[in-house]
Amino acid sequence: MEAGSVVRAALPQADSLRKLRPAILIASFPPFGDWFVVGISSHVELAVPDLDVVIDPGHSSYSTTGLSYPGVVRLGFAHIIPKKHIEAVIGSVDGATLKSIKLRFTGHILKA
Amino acid sequence: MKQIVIDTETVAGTAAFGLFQREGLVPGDALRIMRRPRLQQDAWVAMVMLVMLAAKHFLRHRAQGGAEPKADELLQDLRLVNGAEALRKELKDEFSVEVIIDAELDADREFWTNVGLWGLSRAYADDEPDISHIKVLEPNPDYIPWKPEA
Repeated sequence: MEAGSVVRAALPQADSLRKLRPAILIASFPPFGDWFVVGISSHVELAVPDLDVVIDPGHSSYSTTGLSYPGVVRLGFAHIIPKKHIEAVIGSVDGATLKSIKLRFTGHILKA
Repeated sequence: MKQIVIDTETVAGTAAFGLFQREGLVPGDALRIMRRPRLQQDAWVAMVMLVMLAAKHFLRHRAQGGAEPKADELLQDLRLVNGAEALRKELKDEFSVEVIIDAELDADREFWTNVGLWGLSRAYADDEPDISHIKVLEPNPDYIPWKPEA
């Protein structure tokens, strides 16, 4: 498990159950080794221009995410979660994509 | 000096020894032992003691090249210890290892964990594809499957 991995995270739902959702690991934080993650939604129409990253069949990481559908990396919903809620690695994004996500984050924060 | 976090939900006794091996515990490091909310007081004290005994064993093992202790050995040592505070002091005096016990932090961490999980879940719609069938490349050994409250 490393930055750039696409993982399945067990997330709560309104019906009190948990559902496995795809997310990208961005960075691990001390002291507990929690992960800063961003979710990948299948609703690409929700992509925020110049912020979210769309991974569609034309994207360099499309074939490696482990997902069989296009997705939008929703940066506005990023959070830190403990490792114990991450079930497994199912794929990855390439270094350029990871860097692009990080740059969009930092760029957005710095211009705010 | 580094800090090694021991989550008593997943690590106790000889399992702590394995964690120290992976993290490379050395004299001068700090051990942060986290309490889980569902743990009864008696069980919590026993776990803290076992973790500290494992640390003591580990630090001596490294110096002498001995084998990993068995659970029985740790339990035998438990009889010789004069309380958790004495063991904590022993680690401090002999190995300069600080033991931080996070009883209060735990409830706070639980709260912020829930904030994180619920916040992240808002990134998804109700009709997202099922991904439970996707092939796993690397399971997470630290994953704790969720169970509904009884």
